[in-house]
Order: sequence, then C-alpha cells, then structure tokens
Amino acid sequence: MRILMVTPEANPFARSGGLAEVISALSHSLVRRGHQVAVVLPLYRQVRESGHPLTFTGKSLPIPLSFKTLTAEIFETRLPSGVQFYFIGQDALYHREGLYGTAYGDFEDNAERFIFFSRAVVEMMEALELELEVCHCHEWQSGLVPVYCRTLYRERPRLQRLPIVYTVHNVGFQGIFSAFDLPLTGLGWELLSPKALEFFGRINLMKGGLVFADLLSTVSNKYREEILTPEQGFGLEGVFQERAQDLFGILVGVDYERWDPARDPFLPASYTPEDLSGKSRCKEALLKQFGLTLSPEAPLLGLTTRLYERKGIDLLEAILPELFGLGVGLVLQGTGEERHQYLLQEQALKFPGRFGLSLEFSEALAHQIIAGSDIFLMPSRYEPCGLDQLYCLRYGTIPVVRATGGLEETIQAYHPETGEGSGFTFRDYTPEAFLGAIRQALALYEDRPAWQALMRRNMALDFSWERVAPQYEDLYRLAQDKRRQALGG
Amino acid sequence: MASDRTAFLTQMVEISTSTISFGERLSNLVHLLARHLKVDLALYFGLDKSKEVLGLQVSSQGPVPVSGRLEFRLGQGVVGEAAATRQIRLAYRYQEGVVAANAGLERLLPEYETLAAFPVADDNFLYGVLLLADHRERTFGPAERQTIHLVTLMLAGTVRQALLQEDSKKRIAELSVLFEVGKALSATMELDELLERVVSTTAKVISARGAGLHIVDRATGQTKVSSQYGQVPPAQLCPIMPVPAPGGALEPPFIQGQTQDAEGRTHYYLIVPLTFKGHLEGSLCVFDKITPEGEFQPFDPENRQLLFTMAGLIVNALENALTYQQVESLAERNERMVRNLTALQEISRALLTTVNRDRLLEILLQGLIHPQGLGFDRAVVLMVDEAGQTLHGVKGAQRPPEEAAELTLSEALARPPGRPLPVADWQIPLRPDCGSLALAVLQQRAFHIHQRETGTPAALDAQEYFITPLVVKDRAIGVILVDNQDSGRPLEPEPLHVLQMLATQAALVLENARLYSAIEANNRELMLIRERMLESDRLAALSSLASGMAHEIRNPLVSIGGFARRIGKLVEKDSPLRGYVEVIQEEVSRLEKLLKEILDFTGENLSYFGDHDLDQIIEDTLVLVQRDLDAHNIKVVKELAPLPRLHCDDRQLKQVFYNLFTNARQAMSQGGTLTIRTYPVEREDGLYAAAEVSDTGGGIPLEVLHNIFNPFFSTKDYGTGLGLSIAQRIVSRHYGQIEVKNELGKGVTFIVTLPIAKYCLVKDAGRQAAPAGALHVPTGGR
Repeated sequence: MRILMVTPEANPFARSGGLAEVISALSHSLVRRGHQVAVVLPLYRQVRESGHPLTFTGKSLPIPLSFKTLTAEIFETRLPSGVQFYFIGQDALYHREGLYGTAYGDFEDNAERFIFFSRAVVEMMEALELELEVCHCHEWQSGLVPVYCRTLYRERPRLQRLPIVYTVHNVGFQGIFSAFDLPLTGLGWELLSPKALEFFGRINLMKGGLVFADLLSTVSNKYREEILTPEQGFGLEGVFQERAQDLFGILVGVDYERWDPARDPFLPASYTPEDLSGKSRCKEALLKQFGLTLSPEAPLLGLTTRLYERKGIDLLEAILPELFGLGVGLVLQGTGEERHQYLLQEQALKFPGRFGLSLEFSEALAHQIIAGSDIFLMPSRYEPCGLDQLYCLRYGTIPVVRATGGLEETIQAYHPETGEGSGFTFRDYTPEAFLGAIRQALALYEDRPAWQALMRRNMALDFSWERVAPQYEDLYRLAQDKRRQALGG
Repeated sequence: MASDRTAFLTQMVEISTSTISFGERLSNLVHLLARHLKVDLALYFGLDKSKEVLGLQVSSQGPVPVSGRLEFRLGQGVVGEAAATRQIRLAYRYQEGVVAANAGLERLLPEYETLAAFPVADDNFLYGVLLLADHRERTFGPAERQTIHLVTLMLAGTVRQALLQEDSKKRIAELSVLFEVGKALSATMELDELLERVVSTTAKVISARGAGLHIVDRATGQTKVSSQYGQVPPAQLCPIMPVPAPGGALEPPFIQGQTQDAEGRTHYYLIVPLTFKGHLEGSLCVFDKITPEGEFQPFDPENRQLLFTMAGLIVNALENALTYQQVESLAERNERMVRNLTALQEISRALLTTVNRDRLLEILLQGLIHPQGLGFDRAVVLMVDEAGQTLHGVKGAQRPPEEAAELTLSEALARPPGRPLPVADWQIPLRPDCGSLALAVLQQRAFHIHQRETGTPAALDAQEYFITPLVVKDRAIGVILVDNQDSGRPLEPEPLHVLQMLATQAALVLENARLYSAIEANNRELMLIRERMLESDRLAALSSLASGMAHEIRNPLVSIGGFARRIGKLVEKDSPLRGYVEVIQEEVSRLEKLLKEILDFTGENLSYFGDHDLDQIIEDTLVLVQRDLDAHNIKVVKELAPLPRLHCDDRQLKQVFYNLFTNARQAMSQGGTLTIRTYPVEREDGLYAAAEVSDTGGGIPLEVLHNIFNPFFSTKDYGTGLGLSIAQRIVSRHYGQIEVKNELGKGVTFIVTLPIAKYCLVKDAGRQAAPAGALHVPTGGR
C-alpha cells in the first residue's frame, strides 16, 4: 500500500510529545511490512537543525491565504529505514523557536500556519503526482486535509478517490479559531455551519477532519469510549456519537528498538529481566546527575511529563510535602506552563537532595529517568493512550497511574494476593487517591522478591508495533472500501 | 530586590511582545504580576462592547469557566468604580458595604481582606480593570503602584492590539465575503442561486439568525424577486422602503427595531433599502444577531455598514442580471424566428418535390407536427367539396410521443406521419351557423378558438385550437386545423404566424396538384383512345391481308397435297424418291396448319358454342401437354375451384390453354413449376371465372413485354408468333380478358377471365375487342 502520513510532528525531525514517536514508529513498521510510507510535516526550524540533509523537490506551490499568497516549498529526504519524508517549507510561518508556541503559550497565527500546511499538503499530492492508496491525517493541524479533498478539490480525480483516515490523538486540542479566520481557508461560508466547521460561533479544524474523513480512529479503545461522553468529548462528543460507526480505537505500540533496557544507548548500564543489576547502576547515575542524597535502597519516583493540569501536575504539586514525608526521592523532567515551573522550582528548593527537577526536555534524560526510577507517576486528568507507562513496563519501572483512557486500558491494578496486574491505579482525581496508590506501591517495594517478580513479568509484556501495524492495515482497507462505496462502486 | 524587579519587567516585556495569542499573553501577564506582588489572586475584567459591563476574562487561578461568568456593571463594586472613575480603588473587608457590593468575588477568594482595582486604559480608551485580592490586609507602596501601572499599560496595549487585530480580521472576513459574493454575482446570471447565496452569506457574516431580500416592480407593485435564509419572522418580510431623496442625509436610511414574540423573547431586525436606477425597488434585511452563547442582540453600526455595502453590490448585479435576461430573451426570440423560417423553407422545398396530393398532405402534416417544424401536437387538413357544399376531413396526424429524438425534419418530411388521425368522417356543411371551421372557409380568415364550440366534430376534443383557411385566387379550398391538446401547451403566437405563412403556400401547391392531376387524367384518356384505335386499325388490315393470302394459298396447296399423296402411293417403298415425297407431304401439312391458324386469327371459321366446365377444359388440355411437361421436368400444381359452367367454344378455349401451357413449357426449359388456379371473380357487371397460369421461367424481358400480344411476334426460333394473339382473340370473342403479370427474375402469370353462362349470350356487336385498358401491361419505368 502507498500511504501518506500527514502530521504536525515526527521523529527524528520535530518533536513536542508522543505523537512524533508514534508517527515515526508506525511508519517504520509499515515499511517493514512491505508498504511504501511517506510522511509530510512543516519545515520547522527544528527540522533544519536536525542534521538530516534535505533536498528541494523543485516544487514551489503558491498557496492562497485570504488576500495574500504564500509559497510552499516542498523538500524531501529519505531515512535509512526507508520512510520517505516531505516538508512544507514556508519560513515566515515555520522558522521559529517551538512548534506550536513559546513557553508563554501558543502562537497567535496558528490558524494561518496550519491552514496553510493542510492546503499545501493537498496541493503537494497533486503537484508531485503521488499515487496514494491511503492518506492518514493526524491531529487538528491536518484536519482541513479531508475538508479540502472533499470540497474545494473534489473535482480532482486523484483526490476524489483517495481514502482518508483521520486519527485523533488528543481531543483536548482541537484547533479552535475565530470565525473570521475562515477566509484564510478559501472555503465557502456554507461550511461555517454546525454540520461542518462551525463550533459555538468559531471554527474548529479538528471537527472538519471528523466530519469529512472516511474513517476515524483514536489511540485506545477506552479513550474511544470516553470521547463519546460530554466529560471527555470537549464539545465534540456529538460529532463522535454521530460517527461512532466509523470511529475505531487502536492502541499505539512501542518501538522496542529505541526503548529496550538491554540495548538502550542512553543508559549508563544495560539490563535484562534475567540480570537486573544494571538498573541499580542506572538509578545511582540518575541520583548523581541530580545531586540527590537519597540512599540507593530508598524508592525513587520519576516523571517525564509536561507541566499542564491535564497531565495531573496540580495533583503532584498538592502531595509533594507529604510525599517527601514518606522518605522517597523524586526526579521530574518537564516543560510547560510557567506557573507550574515556578511552583516546582520553589518546591525543589524546599527539598534539596530529594527532589531533582529539570525544566527542559531531553530524550536521553527521559530514558534515564524511566530506567533509573523504581516507580513512575502518571496522574493524568485524561490520557488518550500514553506511552511512558508502556516504556516503564519494559524497563521494570512500576507505574502508578490514574485509571483513565489508555492508562486504564494498558495498566491493570496489582493484586497482592494473586500477584496479577502490572501497576497501581487510582480513579478519583484527588490528591488523597493519588497518594493512596503511591503508598500501595511503596508497600510492595518493601517486599523485594514480590517487587522483582512484578518487574520481571512486566518486562516480558509485548506492546510492540508489530502487533499494532496490522490493525492499521485493516483500517486502511476498510477506508478504501468505504471510499469506493461512496464513489458508487 | 532591584534585580528581581528588573527580571520581572524583562519578562513582562518579553510576554507582551511575544508572538503568542492574545488570550495567553493577557493570562501570562496577570499570572506573572500576581506572583511578583505575591497577591493571592489577580483578575482581569474586560469592558464589553456595550461599554457598560465588565466581565471576568483572566484569573491567576487558572482557566475561567465560560458558564456563570462574573460580571460587574459600570460603577458597581470596586471593579465598576475603578472603571467609571478611571482611578485606583482600594477596599477592605471591614469597610461598610464592601462585602455586599463585591459579592461575586467571595466565591473566588473567600475571606479576602483587601481588594485593589486598577483601571486598564491608555491615553484614550478604557479597556478593563485589573483586580488584585489578598486574604491579608495590605497596601501597595509607590514602587508597587508604579509596577502595577506599567502592567496595566501593557495590558491595555495588548488588548488594544487584540481588538485591532480582531477588527482587521473581521474587515478581511467582510471583504472576503464581499469579494466572494461579487465574484459569484459576476460569474453567474442564475438569479435564484445568486440571491440565495447573498442572503445566506449576509446572515452568516453578521451572525444573524435569518436574512431576507425582497424586490418589487415600482410601477405595478408586483414582487420581482424574493429570497430568504434561516429564521425569518413569518409575518413581516422586508417592507419596501422609500427611496432617499438625492443629496439628502449622509447615511442612507434604514429601519432598525425590535419586537416581542409570544414567549416574551425580544427579536431584533435591521432593514436597508435597495436603490435601483430603473423601475425596481427593494430591501435587504437581517433578523436577530446571535452571540456565541445563543443570545439575541441588536445590530451595531458596523453591521449596518456591511449591509449597505452588500445592498450596493446586489443592486448592481441585479440590474446586470435583468439586462442580461432581456438580451437573452431577445436573442432567444431571434433564434426561434430563424428556426421557424428555416423549418418553413424546408417544408416549402419538400412541397415542391411532388404534385401528388396525398404526398403533399403528408409533407404538410409532418411539417406541422414535427418538433423541428411548427411543433403542434395535432394537425388536420379539411377540403371543400364544392359540389356538396361541405367541408370534409382529408388527412390528419398526431405527433408520435418519441419522434423528436429519432428523426430530423427533413427525414420526417420524406415519410408519412407515424400516427395518422382518422378524419374521413368529418363532414361540416358550409353554412355560417356551422361553427368556426365553416366560417373560416366562408369568411376566408383564421380563427383562434379558446373554448370548444358546439357543432365541431366529436373527435376535435381540444379546448384551444387554431383554424386557418387555404385560400387560392380568392377561393377557400380548405382549412388547416392545429392544436396542442396532448401536451396541454398553449398555442404560441409565433408558430401560428408561421402556420399562416405556410397555409398560403400549401393552398397553392394543393391547387396545383389538383390541376395537374386533372390534366393528367385527361391526357391518359386521350392516349388510351388513340392506342385502341391504332390497334383495331392494324388488326383489321392484318386480318384482311392474311385471310386474302390464305385463300389464295389454300387452293394450290390442296392440289399440291393431293398430288403428293397420289405420288406417294405410286412410289415403291424402297425407291429413293419416297423420301422426297414424304418431305413434300410434311411441308404441305405444316403449311396447312399455318393456314388454319391464320384463318383462326382472322375469324373466318365456325364456332361451336356450348355449356362447358372450365376445369374440365383445363384438365383435357393438360393431358395433351403432359408428356412434354414431364420430359422437361416441370411440376404441375393445380388449385381448381368448382365453378358454374361457361357458355363457350370448348375447342377454342382448349387452344387458348394449350398455347399458354406451351408458352410456359418453353419458358421453363430447365424445369420448374406450372401453377394453374381457377376461381370466381365478382365484378360490377356480373360474375366471372378466372384461370391463372403461372410459370417459374424468369419472366418476360421488359423490352419485349409490350409486343407479346402482337401477331407474328416471336422470340422463339420455330414459332409462328401467333400463339398469344390467337389466345387473346379467342378470349375477347368470349367477352373475356387476358392479363399478364410479369415478375422479372421469377416468372409470368397469365390470367384469363371469362363471363359466366347467362351473360355470355348477350352479345354486343360494338365491342369487337376487349378494352385495352383491361390489359394491365406495365409500360416500363417512367
């Protein structure tokens, strides 16, 4: 199958969160299964600085944005893995610090940036004469791709017969903009209706994707159920319910080539279920890196997160003093909202030698925290899928998670009697519930044999992409059937 | 402290100049200030468009819930006071009335002690109020106040920028709408689609619940166009507004107001006039502006401006579209005219190709009903019978349902109409009291009937029909009647006009055809008379010559024959002379036979009339030739019907059939079938017996066909050439006829018709020969 992934970010070029990893791992495993996969994303400054050589395709496409016209320059490169990458170049829009915004918030012209991106992608498919069999769009940033293909560009045979799958990784980000941004799209005002892009008097780019794509998917079955409800649907639950027949939940996979303690180049020592001694060395190195004075036997808690309330950072902040009262250490890596940065910095000053804080993101540190910690915390308010808890399983780090979305689907509560389950969970979004789950984990930590048995069992679990990619293949085939039907056989 | 302040201000500047969205900038500024001043809560209240209400927009506690927004009216609470006075307001819980006036704040920060409100304004406008709240009792020193002042200025700048940006976005959106509408207006002249688009985009851009448009003709007050979108109040639809006097007020007039519905909900409307140069007037209106929360609110002056612009666009486009419509209809009419004239010309040309009346009528009817012709559903031609003083139906036709797709006009004209209309029983007396059909003839003028009259033929079931007379040289020779009964279309004036043009020509060609056929008939009669005279002359001459010669030859021949026989008896059997004598005898008997045939032809022999059975005569004759037929492999098929007896000379009739059979046998030298049929024939002057003799010998070549009954004409090497002429003579002597049907490539059929018994006895001395007209001999292609 010839597949085009339309995404706002992808490893190893531009990353802000798990999406970048999902895209590259999914593409890679589809290529391994014999498909031709191309990925298209904006040519951010980060892409230019990623060190990969880019080639100009010779295509400069004029893209109208309301009364002005900007040029999209198409660059390409091919990774050794065989995945083809295209980049939509427009420096006025993408040559910046940050993908979607700065530390203070989102860019004010994000509507323009990703309307331009979506339209340029559609034009690119025509200009490069890509003979695609499936187009797979991700997140709100590519939500207009299906809209363009089915409205403004529907007369183009190539686009007309192209099946489009639209995947929502997080309904919390929908790309909602002022209705006055509609002229930027070049779409008719008739689309400013609740049946299409309109969303409480504004425009919603994710809604466009949900309404116009052939099939929809999200990243776990649990999350699929949750977004049908007003609590997690963020106002789009009606649209999801309307298209529930076409909405599928497919758990994302783990790229064990990059996330395996037996061969992880970021770790000071490797380890396996058979020989766990390397993990202790990782822990020691981590303690040393953050200058923590914790004894190596004491439990070390870890987080690599983003400093937003949806990640449950407020919950963590609320229990910090009590947590340190339990004699544990904590390392946290994360970027995000300023006020949380300040709050955490203040707390870090209060608990020197116990609280290691890094307000940056580095992939190496992420690996090191996941390997070096004994317990990993994910108190998310909601979590479509979540990847870190899956990495932790493989790294023998026991997750404490809130039972929501993908976390609930992948982490089963540990039963002391039966020894079943893979981690510790809590349901109520309260500091008490969170702390309760941590206490349970700490209690088991004292029972070394049981703890290590749990570690070993978790490390043997398989959440690889090899199990996931076939499900996407099925989804693509279904989308092709659906498209054929829509075109009358 | 100083470095702390510098760091804070640096960050402030960083935020207010960053490229992040306006809301996040505002929120970051408020958060940062709260942290810097170490106050429990910092809030920003924005002044809304009405400039009367301050609504909570940003809180340092986190996102502000959309529902149940905290609001203060101007002058209400410290927030309202600070806004009204543009002065800093400080309030403490212990002060009287503070808790009551600021009740809403209790929810956000229970047990607050200090409230400090700072107006957010630049040199010109007030944008909102910054409120700091703390659970301690505190004051703000000069340095802190200065910091807060700086922050309020930054907030003001950010809000102003946001408003400007929102405003320009809105302008661009409006422009793009106008652009789009303008493009649509100039791209299409489809008025309905266009107007629908205009009202729907108008409603969407102004975020109105509904919009409507109404245009009337000023003179007649008739609605020309009207269109609406969304929720439009049923009762009132865009009243037409008076046209403003030129050079009057700066802003064009408008109507703006509100009504209450049955449920007590207030509805708003805004109406602006559409001012046309010509005879049209109209209005464009919008109803109920909706807020994102679904509330209704009145329209503001900006909405009005946009509506005026929209109105201007519509007026121009509409005028263009109407002009276009006119031009289009004119062009259409021209095209129709050309089409009609082309059809007329084509029909005329077809009419000139023939003088056959039936063909002319077919062409005429096809032209009238064919879609590419005049396109009527039905057409009937009635002709005047001068002798009977009546009008009778001659031919009618009805348009076949599917004809249009199949045949072009010229193809259709070449063939008869597919669905004839039976009109032969239409008989209308030519009296003034017998309806329009009669009147059309009598007064020689056309009638357009809209109500079916009494006295018209029952088959004429149409309510509307048109009659035009066929007039030649001041004389009406008939009428044409058309209607559109089947499809129910009205009769348009244009085809009727063309019909009248066609009627004149049709009358002329029909009259010509009548004259031509009269001349032709006369001519044919003269030819026949002449031919018959020639024939009888020639036969008479031949008879007298032949019989004279026969008599002269017969006496010497008898002598030669007698002496030859006598010599024959004397010559020895084996004498060499014997052969010569026998040759003489044979030749003499051949000559005698020839002589006898000549005398038969000239009629100088006796007749033996009696009553005989025709079938028996044929059977007897067949016996004579049977062997000969068998020898040539000829099959005989007999279909003999029992018939009354004939009064005839059986010997002579046997001779007739003998000759016919012999001819047939000779024609089928390679074998074939000889078919003999007998049957009765009833004619005006009585009953006849007919006998058909058919062969399969390939027929008679056309070049010899007209000679076959002539005496001495033969195509054979040993024929006398008298066979068929003798047969003809014998048959005509019996008051019968002999006909020949020649099918080239197949064979020949001779039909002998003889009157039966009692009529044969009535002899008419004047009729020497059968009329030549009875011989339907083809004369070859004309």
